[in-house]
Amino acid sequence: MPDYKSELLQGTLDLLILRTLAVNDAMHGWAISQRIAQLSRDALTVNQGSLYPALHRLEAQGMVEAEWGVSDHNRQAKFYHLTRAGRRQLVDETAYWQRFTAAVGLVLKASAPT
Amino acid sequence: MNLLSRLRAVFHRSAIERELNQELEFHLAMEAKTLERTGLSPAAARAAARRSFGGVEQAKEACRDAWGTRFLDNLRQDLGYGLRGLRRNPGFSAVVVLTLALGIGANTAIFSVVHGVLLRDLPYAAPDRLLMLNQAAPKAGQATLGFSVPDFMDFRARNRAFESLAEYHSMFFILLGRAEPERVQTGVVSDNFFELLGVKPLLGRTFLPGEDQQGAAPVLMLSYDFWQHSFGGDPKVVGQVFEMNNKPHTVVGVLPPLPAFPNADQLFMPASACPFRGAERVLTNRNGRIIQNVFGRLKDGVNPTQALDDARRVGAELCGEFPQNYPQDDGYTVEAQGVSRAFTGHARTPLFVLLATSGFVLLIACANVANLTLARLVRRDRELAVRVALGAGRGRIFRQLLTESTLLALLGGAAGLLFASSGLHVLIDYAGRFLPRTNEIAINGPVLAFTLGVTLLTGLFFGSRPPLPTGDDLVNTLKDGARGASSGRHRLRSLLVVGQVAIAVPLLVGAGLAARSLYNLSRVDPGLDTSRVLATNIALNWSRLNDFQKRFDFWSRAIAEVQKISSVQSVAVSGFEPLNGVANNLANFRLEHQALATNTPSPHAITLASTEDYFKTVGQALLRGRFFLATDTRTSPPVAIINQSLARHYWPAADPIGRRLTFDNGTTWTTIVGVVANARQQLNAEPQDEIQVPLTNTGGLIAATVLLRTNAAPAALTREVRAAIHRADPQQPITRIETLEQVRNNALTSPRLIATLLALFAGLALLITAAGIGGVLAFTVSQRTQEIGIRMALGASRGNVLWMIVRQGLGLVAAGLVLGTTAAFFLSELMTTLLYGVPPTDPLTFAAVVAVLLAVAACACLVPARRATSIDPITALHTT
Repeated sequence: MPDYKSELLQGTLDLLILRTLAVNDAMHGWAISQRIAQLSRDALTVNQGSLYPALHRLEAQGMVEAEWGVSDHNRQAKFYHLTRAGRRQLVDETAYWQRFTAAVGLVLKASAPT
Repeated sequence: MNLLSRLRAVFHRSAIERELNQELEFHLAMEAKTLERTGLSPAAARAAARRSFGGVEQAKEACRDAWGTRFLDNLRQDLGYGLRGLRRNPGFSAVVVLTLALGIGANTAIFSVVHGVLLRDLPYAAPDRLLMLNQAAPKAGQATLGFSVPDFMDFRARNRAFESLAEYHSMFFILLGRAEPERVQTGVVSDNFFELLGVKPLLGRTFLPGEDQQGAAPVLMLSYDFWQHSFGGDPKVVGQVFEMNNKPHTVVGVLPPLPAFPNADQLFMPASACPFRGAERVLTNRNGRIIQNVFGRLKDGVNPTQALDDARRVGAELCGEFPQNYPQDDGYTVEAQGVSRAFTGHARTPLFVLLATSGFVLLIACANVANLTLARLVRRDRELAVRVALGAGRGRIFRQLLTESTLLALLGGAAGLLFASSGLHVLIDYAGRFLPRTNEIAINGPVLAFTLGVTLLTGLFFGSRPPLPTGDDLVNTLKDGARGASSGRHRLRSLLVVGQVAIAVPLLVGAGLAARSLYNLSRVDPGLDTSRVLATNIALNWSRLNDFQKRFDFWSRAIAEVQKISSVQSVAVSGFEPLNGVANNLANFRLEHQALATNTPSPHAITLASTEDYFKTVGQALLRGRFFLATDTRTSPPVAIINQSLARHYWPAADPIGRRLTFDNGTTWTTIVGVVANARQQLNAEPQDEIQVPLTNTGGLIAATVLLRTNAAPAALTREVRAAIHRADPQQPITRIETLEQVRNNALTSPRLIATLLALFAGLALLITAAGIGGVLAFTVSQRTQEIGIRMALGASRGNVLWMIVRQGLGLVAAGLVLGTTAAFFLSELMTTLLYGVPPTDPLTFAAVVAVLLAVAACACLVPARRATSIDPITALHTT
């Protein structure tokens, strides 16, 4: 039985990563996963195994760029930051997401059992 | 940037992998550290971090996929694997690459010639809409009569199929006004000629409407080559004035580079500027057929067949209106040919034969490589089976094998390209003597595309093999090693050998026929003694030597001066250089007291003119009567010497000496004074009827050949002859000096090139085929070592074993021979026009080819067969 709490819709993870990076300068993967969990009050736990392929996919698409730097704990880490294309993508995706949830909301409201 | 990081992902794989490891490692460490704070031991925290992360390897794989480089990764891996494999088997790789290089190189070289000469469009606008018209009298052996000015005007006015018609003929004129008088070949055309072809001038303009009308100011256009060579490409040449034919001519334009077609014209002038074309008697004489070619551009919607029908309709109309001007009894008709066809006609057959031949060689080479690869694959079965068992996809394995074969093919292709480009100039030099447009041959884009295509096809051909062992086979392969899946492959390998032999037969037959033709041609007795004769070709400045007497005096002086050279035995002037095939001017004549049946072709013969010692100089024997004498002058009764062919033709039983004939319908009668033996005008054509008249009975010849016979080496006299001609007239340029032996050899150039190339290809094919037969048998022997050991242990003699192996090889060869001979029987027909004195199905050639192939195959069989006989039964039975 899949765990609905943590199961993210396809593409949602990308949106969350972009959003997280939009408000922070540069973050490494672990920090991103922590922030998403924190912001969603643990309602969304990102499957850590799928975070990295998503990051690499976004990098390959040019939405994010990565640089090696030194973390707070003095270790080498790969820091991601948003590119201009990533920012545009975030705006588009956010708008789409809002339309989508609004539409789903409408459908649910209309067909809600009275 | 994006692409860059992708490429980085492919080529800096290890760095990427390291970074990926490091990144995930960092994540796990951070997670573990967080968990440690909840009180877990470091080891437990680490384990928990791993658990919460999920499959690390899967994540890595997904990251790699994220870059979309899996395909490239595989390719890179396959390439690396392939290269390692090639390096591990340098012998195999070298043989394959070399074999393919020879095959691909040959094809590239030949295709570059075919492309340059045949496949590229002529640089005219819509060349497929251009036709060349001919009037012909096939029953009189005249493929082209030319057109008279009235003919041309009538065709122009009456046709309904052509947008426009243009006339063309070519003549030599002397161009004055430069440092030295220069003899230039000049195209004489109607004013719409270049417009019709769709040729735009490089500089200046082409001819204007009306410039070909009588009385228009003479103008000239320069060909690109002439402009480059004689004027150094000077753009100021436009507007300059030069004297030709006693008139000032203004240069109005320069043409772009064009192929030398229909002739290698250096200049072009409108029809009105040509003194011959403009003469009153030519303008109105329907029989004065000075125009060599008529070009026509088809109207929209008219196809060439309809156009030909239309032109024939006009011809038939003219026949009806002017019956005496059109030789209807000689089968008068109009012919039409596409310009491209007319341009490349004689080059098509040899080039396509060569292309097919080189293609066959490549096929044989491919079969060999496929054979080698199959043999190698058998040894690799176990390796591949292990990989399949370990989970490598079949598609992946197939792709890998294909990558390997493509890699080999590409290496072979690259080496072949090197071969082709290093040998091409030799081919071009050689081909230039009998093909048009050879200066445009190059290894260019389309040729490279052809080579790449052939290379990839080659890789596919020998890379696609029977499927890998499956299921039970797989288990067997793993257990038995090499022998598991070999039987099906062995059948395939045998079939490949049969195929090789079958293809080699037509190649050898082609080479054999070409060699026999060349031999026959080189042994032809032309009816002349070509040794120790020097031919000096001279064209007179006839605007200066403007009447018969001046020209006749020049030739007399030239003879006298050349005669003074000490080793010279005899000297003569002839209107045509013997043996170079240009003497084809047929004249109609009528015999005295011989009525002609209606509806039969009128008598015609090649007419030639020469001085007294001509026959003595070229060594043509007198059979009856006498040679020309100094007493045969312009005022004495006209005389002629005929050849034996003509004598037999009209006086099979009687003596022709003293008989008379007329060229002008009885106005003047010429008496036959001698009969000479037949001599060929063209090495590969039977002698035709000929009539020779004294030089005094001509207009004095504006171009002729001074021939001398010497008792020394003729080529050594070149300088002395030049000096002698210079003494006769200091301003007279010499066109060309060559020995008659060279003239004869020139006729062999093209057959020699074809025979050489075909022999080269056939030899290559034979070698590769022999290697193929030997390879297959050697493999059989190695596979059957045990069986042979048992046979020998049971008492089979070495002879028995030897015969067993040889028989297997010869069985394959015999099957190939049957197929190949049948194919050759039909294919050799295509060579008919290239052959001389040998039929395309010449039994001797076929028999020789079969014998050669059998002998070579037997030798190829013997090597592995002898190895079989040296098998030690004990060892063979022990090693399993």
